[in-house]
Amino acid sequence: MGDLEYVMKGIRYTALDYAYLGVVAVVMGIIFYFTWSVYEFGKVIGGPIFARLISYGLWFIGAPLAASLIRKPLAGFLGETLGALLETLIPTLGGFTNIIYGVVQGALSEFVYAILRYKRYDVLAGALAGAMAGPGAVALDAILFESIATPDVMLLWLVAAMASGAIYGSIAASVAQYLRR
Amino acid sequence: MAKYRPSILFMYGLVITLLAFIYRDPLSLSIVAIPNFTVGFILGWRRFKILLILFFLGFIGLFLNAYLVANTGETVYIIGPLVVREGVVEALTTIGLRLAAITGGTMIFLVLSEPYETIKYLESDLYIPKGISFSIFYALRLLPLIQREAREVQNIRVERGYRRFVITPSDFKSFILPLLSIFMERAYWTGVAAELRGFQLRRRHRISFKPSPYDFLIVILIILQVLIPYILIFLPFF
Repeated sequence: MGDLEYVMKGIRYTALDYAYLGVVAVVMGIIFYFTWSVYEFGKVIGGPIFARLISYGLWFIGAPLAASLIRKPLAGFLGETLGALLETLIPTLGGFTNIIYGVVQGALSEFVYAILRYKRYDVLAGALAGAMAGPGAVALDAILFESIATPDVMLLWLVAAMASGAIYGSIAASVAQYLRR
Repeated sequence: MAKYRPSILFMYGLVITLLAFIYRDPLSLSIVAIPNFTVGFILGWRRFKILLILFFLGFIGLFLNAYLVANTGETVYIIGPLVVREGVVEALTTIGLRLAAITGGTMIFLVLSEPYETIKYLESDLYIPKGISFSIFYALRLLPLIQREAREVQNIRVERGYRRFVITPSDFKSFILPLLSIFMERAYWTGVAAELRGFQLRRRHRISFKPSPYDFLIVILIILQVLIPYILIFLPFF
């Protein structure tokens, strides 16, 4: 824990980091905007599990992308939250709900980087950060939109959301690695 | 000065969203949903047509979801092979009203406020850190540019025989890489320029608080929508 406290005290964001966050936010805002269509399309053609599998990960990538690009504490949380805020301003069907989801998903993904003591920003860390946002999204679906089913179905939804998060999270991290070269 | 203080409108949208989740019964939800959606619909129809179309299309997905997870109770309708029970109707009503309230509240906020002003006022009134407001300002500035570039990437994808919209992970990668490379380069030089202009020394933007009659109206509307459902609970005929 001592390491983590040391890291958190040393956070200093420059204008460059904030500008990168701005880019992540705007790209995420646009991707989140299109993800609504992917989700609705997926739900109609393949049902809720397929919809979650193809779309949920896209809503979780703000954190792994920002964290892998900026590589500073809280970057993941801010990337996801600012993307969600922009999604509200663009706007999308979720309206202000996006901010609630963004904060929760961002915090859960950030937790992964904190556990890794802000030392690993590779593809595996991105996949874990993406997957970690899954339980938050499924829990919020249940609390806010009453998407509650039998335990078996809920488990499938959770697995689909986490798998989707892991896939898209690893892609986001590999994209960030490519950009940092 | 803006007619409506954007930070108050932001709080209005946020409170309406929270109320939409706090209220569980259709009566309380309709008190928040019907007026907000009606006003939002009238004000925002021209600017946010797609959002409203998506709202109505969303009901198909909502019905499928409700049919899969809440199809219990007495039979209400039989549509071909589909047997629709009470649970589906209840879930559709509750979640439909909830979505209507959220969409309405968001539309009212968006139509009556301007994004740049909103961020400025959020920094002043809600103490959003200056770096965060810088990021959002920058993101908003990039938005029209990136929309144009995103459309270009989509057109190029179509010309090469790929899907226009991102569906699979590989679509996503080929869509996001060119977009990010261009804008990261731009962000680098923007960041350098901001630092050279003394970004670290800039103080928090502050705007004096002089509420207009419109702001009072918004606050009264918030209070009414919080109180009316609770008052109705104590009336004998509800």
